[in-house]
Amino acid sequence: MGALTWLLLEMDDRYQSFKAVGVRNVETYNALAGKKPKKGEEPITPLPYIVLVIDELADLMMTAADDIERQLCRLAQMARATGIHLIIATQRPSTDVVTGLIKANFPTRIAFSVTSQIDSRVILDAVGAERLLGRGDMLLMRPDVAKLQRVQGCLVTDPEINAVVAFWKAQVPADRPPVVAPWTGLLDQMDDEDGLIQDAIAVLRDLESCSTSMLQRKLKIGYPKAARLMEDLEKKGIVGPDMGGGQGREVLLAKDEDGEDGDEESEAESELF
Amino acid sequence: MPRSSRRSSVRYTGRRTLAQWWAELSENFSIELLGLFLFLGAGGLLLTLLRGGATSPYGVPWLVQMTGWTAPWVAVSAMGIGALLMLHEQLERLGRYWSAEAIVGAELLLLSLQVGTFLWHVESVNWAPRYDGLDGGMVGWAIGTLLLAALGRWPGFAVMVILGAIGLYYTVRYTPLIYLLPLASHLFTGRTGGRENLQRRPTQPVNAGANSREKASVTGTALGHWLESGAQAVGRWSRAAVAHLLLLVPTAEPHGRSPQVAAAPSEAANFVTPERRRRDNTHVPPNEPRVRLVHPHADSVPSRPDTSAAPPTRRAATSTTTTAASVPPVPPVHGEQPAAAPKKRRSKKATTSALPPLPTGLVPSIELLNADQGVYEAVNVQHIQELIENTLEDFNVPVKVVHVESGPTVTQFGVAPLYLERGGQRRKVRVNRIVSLADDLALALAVPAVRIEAPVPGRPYVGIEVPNTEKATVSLRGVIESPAFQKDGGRLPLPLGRNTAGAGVVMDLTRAPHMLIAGSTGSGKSVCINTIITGLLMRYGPESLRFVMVDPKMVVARLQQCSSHDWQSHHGDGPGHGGADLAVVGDG
Repeated sequence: MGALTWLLLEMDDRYQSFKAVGVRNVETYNALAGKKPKKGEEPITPLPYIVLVIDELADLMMTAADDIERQLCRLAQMARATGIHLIIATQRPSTDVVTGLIKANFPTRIAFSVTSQIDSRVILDAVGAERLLGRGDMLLMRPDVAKLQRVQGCLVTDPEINAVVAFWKAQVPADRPPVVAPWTGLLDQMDDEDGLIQDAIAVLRDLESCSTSMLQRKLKIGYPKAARLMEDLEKKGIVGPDMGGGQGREVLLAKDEDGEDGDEESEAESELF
Repeated sequence: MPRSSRRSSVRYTGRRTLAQWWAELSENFSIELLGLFLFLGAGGLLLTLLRGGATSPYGVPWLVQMTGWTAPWVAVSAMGIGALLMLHEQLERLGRYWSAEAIVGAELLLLSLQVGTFLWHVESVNWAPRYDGLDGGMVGWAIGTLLLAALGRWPGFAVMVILGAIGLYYTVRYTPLIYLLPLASHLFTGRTGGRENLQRRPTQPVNAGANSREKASVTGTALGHWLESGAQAVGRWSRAAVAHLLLLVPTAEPHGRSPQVAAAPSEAANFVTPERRRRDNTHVPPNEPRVRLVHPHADSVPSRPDTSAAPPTRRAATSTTTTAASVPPVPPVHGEQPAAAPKKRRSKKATTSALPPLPTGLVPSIELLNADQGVYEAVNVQHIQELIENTLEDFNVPVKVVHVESGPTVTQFGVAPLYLERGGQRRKVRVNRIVSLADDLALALAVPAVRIEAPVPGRPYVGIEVPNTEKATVSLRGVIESPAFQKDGGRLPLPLGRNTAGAGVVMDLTRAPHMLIAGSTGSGKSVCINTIITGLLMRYGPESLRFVMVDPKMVVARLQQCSSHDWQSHHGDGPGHGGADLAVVGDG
């Protein structure tokens, strides 16, 4: 989730920087970055390609299907020009995992051996994958070739992977600090930045007690959202527990001494109107 | 000069009309006018280039698109030519160092820089025009691609180095850059402690200008003289020419041409420096013959009239450059090893010759991967072929096997449908009937499954894919070395595997642009992902490629554990994640 959200933000950032220099995709952008900056312009740093690899889509879809599907589709539709590419694998080719929306956005598909014609149809919109032999035997569907291609996949052994990885490892100076993924804490931060809670605190500032329905009215939000907001406020220690009997909750915010009078006046005024 | 005399006669004709004036102007000042236009045009181009206006649809200025990074120098040289044409008479009076050879030299030098840059960056022939203004621009692309196609990469590069050397020689020889020569020789001999020059040193800097002109003409006449004197002299002279060049190159660097050298890509600088250093070190003795060459003629030459000295000079110069030019391209070849020594990274790059040099400059060696055989021969093809024909015949579907190609796992038999006699009518067998007999064929051939591709795209037959009895392993290296990967892999080539003919299948992820992989457990999904990741790792470093991996099953975790330098964080139990691990690798 965090990673997908970060990718979406990164995509938007990249589009912004493309717009700033007037290019359309990452290749021309990087070509520009290769040149010397003109006078008075910020030097452009080349953007790396980002490849998102999801090894088991079914697992993600099981937990938060709607969110994941929405984010994936948004990435798939728009991220291409920004140099972000998606490789998604699943071992459960059923329509609730590989939805129509996802299929429409992934024109390149690879089917390894599957058990039934139905699975093959889900993946490739054609039969054939059920006759594959397994162990790397695949059918490749690519947007630039009309028919399916039968391909035997490569085998990469562990020593080979280790050798390549060791090579790259050797290129990194030993004293480099461990890199933290850029989306660590992104979701928490986004929650914090959620404007709603700030608004709620502003509303509650000068009140003795409050209720969920009051929040609903003041912030013009629905009940579920207001209830969740109230729970968050309780967790943060801004409001006390529900006192029961329709008395609402106690507001634990320290009163703002200086602004009290003015605030009251303004509130009185707003009530008048 | 006939021109000046004509002009003076025209000047005193009295009143003139506009037409007359124009005719007179165009008659007398045509070259000067041309020079003026050229100068102004090139100046304007340079100005727009510097201010960054007037871009082509591809987002780069026109001149940059045509000539790549040498664009400012093209503009400057065009300005120089314009100025030369405008002022040639005055300059002729000053001295004869601004001449056509200088123009030719500058053009050659720029051309070789453009094409050289192109050849340095591009490894394969691609006839699609380059509009992006990189790698030497359109000019570099056009000539570079021709050279690439005709000679190959490095021979073409050598040709360009030769041309560049000729250009450099001409540029320095026929422009006042040669005035800097004695200064350089002074510096040079001062540094190496030349014995002969010791007594001459105090006098040289004082009247450097006169001395150098004198010396240059001395060299010229000396060359002409020596050319006549035969083969033995040529041998000696070529040594002198090396010494001559030896002097020219350090001169050119700190003074006239320093911005150009600085603007050159770092590899170009890398390329030149060892060459120079080597010459400095190894060719100190040739310094001696040069001095001897100059000395005997020093007294006699100034007395000679300049005009008589001119023709032999030029002739000598042209032949000189051909002999002299054969010298410089050699050092770079050896020069790369000295260059590799101080830089550790370079030395590794030298081993990765199988892969083209990339923007990262550094990729893992292909030697890290295991090789595969590449050619696949299915066993008893003849037998299977007969079985197919007989089986289909039994089902009243006569076919003929017309084509067989073997891949690592399956062998494809291309069968052409034959005619069927029924009721006196000949009818061709329908393709559908062959397809419907797939299971019967599998039974007859005793194989797990037969897939029928009907028809094979672009071929006049139906493909029956029969599994081989023994599957061959396809290695990543084989696919990476295949022409498909090397030629048209695109920006992010994914080595996927080999097709039924055994040819490599490569897919460009930037064109894909996203990929969906599905298959049951153990069918090779994860291996495929590993292949893709490793294939990309073979090509790109962290600055140009990053991975984000969402890997709940931790299948690719091995990749990740090894690469502890990569981004690695486990974003476990995130909101709504039910214990799934978001394992993350940004390839570092």
